[in-house]
Amino acid sequence: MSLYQDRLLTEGIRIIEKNAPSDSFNADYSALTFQDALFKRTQLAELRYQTAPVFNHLKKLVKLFCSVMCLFFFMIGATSVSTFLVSETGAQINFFWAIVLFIAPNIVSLVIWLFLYFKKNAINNTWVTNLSLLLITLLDKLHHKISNKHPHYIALFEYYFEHRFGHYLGRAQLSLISHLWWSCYLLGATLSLLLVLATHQVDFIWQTTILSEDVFVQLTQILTTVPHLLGINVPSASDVSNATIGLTNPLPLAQDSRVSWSNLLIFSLTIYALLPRLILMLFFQRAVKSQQKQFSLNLSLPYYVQLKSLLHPIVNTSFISDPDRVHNNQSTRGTNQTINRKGYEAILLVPKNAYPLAIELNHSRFQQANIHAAEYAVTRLINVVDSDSQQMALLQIQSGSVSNIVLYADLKRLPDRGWLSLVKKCHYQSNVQIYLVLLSEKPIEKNGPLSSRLQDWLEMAAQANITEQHITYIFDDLATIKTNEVENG
Amino acid sequence: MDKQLLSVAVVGHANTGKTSLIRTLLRDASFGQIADKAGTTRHVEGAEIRVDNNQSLVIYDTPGLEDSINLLSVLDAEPSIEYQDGIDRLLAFIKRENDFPELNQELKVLKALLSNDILFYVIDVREPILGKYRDELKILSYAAKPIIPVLNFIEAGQENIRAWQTQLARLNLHAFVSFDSVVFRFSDELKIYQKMQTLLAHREQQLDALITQRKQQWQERESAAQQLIATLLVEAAACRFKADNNEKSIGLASEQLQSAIRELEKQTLNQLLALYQFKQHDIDQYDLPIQQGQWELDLFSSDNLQEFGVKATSNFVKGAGIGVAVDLVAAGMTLGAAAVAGGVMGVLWGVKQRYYDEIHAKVKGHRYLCADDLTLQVLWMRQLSLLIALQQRGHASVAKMSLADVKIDKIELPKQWSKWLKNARQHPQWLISNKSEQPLLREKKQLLIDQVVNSLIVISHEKSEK
Repeated sequence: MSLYQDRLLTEGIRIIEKNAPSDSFNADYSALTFQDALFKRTQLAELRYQTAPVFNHLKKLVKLFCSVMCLFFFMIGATSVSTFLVSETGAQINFFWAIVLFIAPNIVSLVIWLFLYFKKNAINNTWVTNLSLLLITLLDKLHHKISNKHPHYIALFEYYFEHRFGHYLGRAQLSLISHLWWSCYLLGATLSLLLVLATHQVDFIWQTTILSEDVFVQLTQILTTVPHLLGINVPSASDVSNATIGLTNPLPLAQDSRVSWSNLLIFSLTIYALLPRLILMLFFQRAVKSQQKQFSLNLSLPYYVQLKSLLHPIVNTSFISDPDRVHNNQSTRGTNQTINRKGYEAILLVPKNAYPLAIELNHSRFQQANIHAAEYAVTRLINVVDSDSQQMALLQIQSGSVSNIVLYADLKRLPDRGWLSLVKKCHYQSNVQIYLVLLSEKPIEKNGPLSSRLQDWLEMAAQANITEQHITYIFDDLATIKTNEVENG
Repeated sequence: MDKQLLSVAVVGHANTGKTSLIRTLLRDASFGQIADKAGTTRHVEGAEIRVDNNQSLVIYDTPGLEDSINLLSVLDAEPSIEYQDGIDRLLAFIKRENDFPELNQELKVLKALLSNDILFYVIDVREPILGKYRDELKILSYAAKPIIPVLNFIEAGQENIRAWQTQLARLNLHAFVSFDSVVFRFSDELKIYQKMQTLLAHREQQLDALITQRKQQWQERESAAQQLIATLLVEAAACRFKADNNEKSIGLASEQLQSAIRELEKQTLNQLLALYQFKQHDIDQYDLPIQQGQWELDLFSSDNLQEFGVKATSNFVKGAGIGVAVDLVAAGMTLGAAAVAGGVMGVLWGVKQRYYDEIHAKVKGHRYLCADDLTLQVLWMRQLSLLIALQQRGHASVAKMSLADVKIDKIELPKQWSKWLKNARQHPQWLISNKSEQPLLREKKQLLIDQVVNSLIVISHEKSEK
């Protein structure tokens, strides 16, 4: 399958999928470039959507339509010679008819074609498209009657027509068809004329009312210029003047005149009319093929942008390089059980000689802890924020043989393993009793973020063997401190 | 040829948004696990951002350094004379990993420090500056790798940014970047890569390619989104339904019209979500007014007017959105183009195709209903708001967000607005469901879409300049 066909099928699949590309073709595209991945997907999608038979069918239809029209124009050309050019008796040919039927319309249509070709959008408008569409639809229904077989036939039909005769290929394609049909018409006429001249002995005359003899002679002389230069026997100016009704030459001269007129007529038809059309037709045939080869997909369309992220994701699937063997992919830790939170609301009984220790408190929470600790503690409150302060606090606890420790933590902050590790270190002896005071600037609202954080603290405290009876929280309000009065035991 | 990999280890204290940062950079809401708890990430997990077939950036997420105080005390327990440098100190600790089971998570971080090219040290700027962060940075410095401190959650932690910057400067860390994995700015992402270029001069070309690729991808995505919105506007304006000249028929057609426009908006919404790599279940957790692929607030609800500051002056508030009845004049009937285009048959055919429906409706006393200006105005503003929301939405946040938070100021309607609507209304064939037999004129439709897209580009530029 050629690249062009591949791309056309990709477009057909886009038409079917509209703006939502399916990612259900589970192929591996990782080693491919986006273009290759796209075509691999096209091949897979084609198995499902079957767009190729529709496009092939449409291609055949267009071909059939063009061929029928070619035959039609060939017949028109062929019959016009015997109908208009040769007289009823078959003895005379009116040369003026040759100009009217073949030369002049050919030149006029070439001028119109040039105008349409170079005027942007001139041939893509309105009725041309729809009329052609209607004709092809009729032909399709007459020829195959399959228009309802494919569920997306109409959409594919419209796309294909737009593609062949629209913005991208339209000018070249329509030019090719126009030159092809003209070539058929002129070829039919030329062959028919050759047949007439081969089988009849005709005299050449000219008849016209609208042109004077001088103009006609001049016109004919223009046509004779090139064959004359090429050494072909063509009628002279006097021959043209004499070729009127009623004037016949003597026999030897008449035969000579017939040959020269025949030469001029055949030369004019083939060189001035048929040859340029054939050359243009071949040129546009190549142009169409070349444009088909250069046909590229508009990858900026939303469909392709989405497809790109599906087929060729910039981000590859994530992978685990150092797995957690201990917890085996369980993100949650701790007891995971809902702790009964009634306990912390009770009044906390703290022994008088308890050692206060703040953990990672900011300035305002530290102040709050200081006020609270002042009620019972004799030592200065240390705020553990780094390795040095932690070592200093642990040294004091161990050297002072402290058996009751009150930890102050910010309720808002997240309890972590670092905190747990410190609490475990505080348990340097089995008889050490640890109390936890959670500090907050606001009271805990039911189902609020602090409530959920409290749950985290309770879970972590359970891991540190701090019982609920030894946990309380205070918020930055004097009245609350009073209600959570500390009793110095 | 061997693949060139540039690897980054994202490290930091627990719950600072390391996984969130990676999710946002990857545009992948399924990467890792996120929770408002310490120790959510327990594996070292990596993902690859492919620059091209030969170059990639690999980002590794690591568990949080929860017990850095303990770790540092273990690392520093041996006198300095024992080790040549910090790397030796780390290697010695790794060798004795079985002696410290409680530091199992930290050990993974240390391995990641040594095995990657550069480190992102993620800081939650909402947190107060504590000494333990200095300890963490001291541990990181043992690995002798370039460090980029990433100040995360800058929107919510504005008041702490200055203090954090000062603190980092004191530790000789000047190449920090500000980022917000919740309120995402693409320019911030680029700054991260640019900082990497500064610190990894020998990888400059690779990072250049990465920046180019990311920019290209962002622009492609934005451009595709603009095309989708422009197409929606054009098709919604072209949408129309025929009604008899009586109340019942008009009511029925109005309902059909509303339903068709809702469906168009729904399709565009889903495409925009897919384009920005948000899945329906991702968006469900946000407070975007979208549910089950539809906007919560119906397009035809009068509340929309207040939400988007539109003054109600038409029958919109009556719950209609009935709008304009298209007549021959509105259809812009001219024979000029068809007459120029071809012969008599062509002209007749063209006229039949183009105006038959309108003429037939006129003769039979029917009317066509299409969406009125206000409906389309709200539709336009909703899409603009959604686009801004999606562009600013990190793939990490679990916090709620509503369109009310989207700062779109006042969106001025483009100057050509009325012209666009008139143009689209004259071409019912531009919406397939209208089943119009008029010539398709795809190029004309595309031309109009391009004009709308250009206007969206202007709006986007104005927004980014602000």
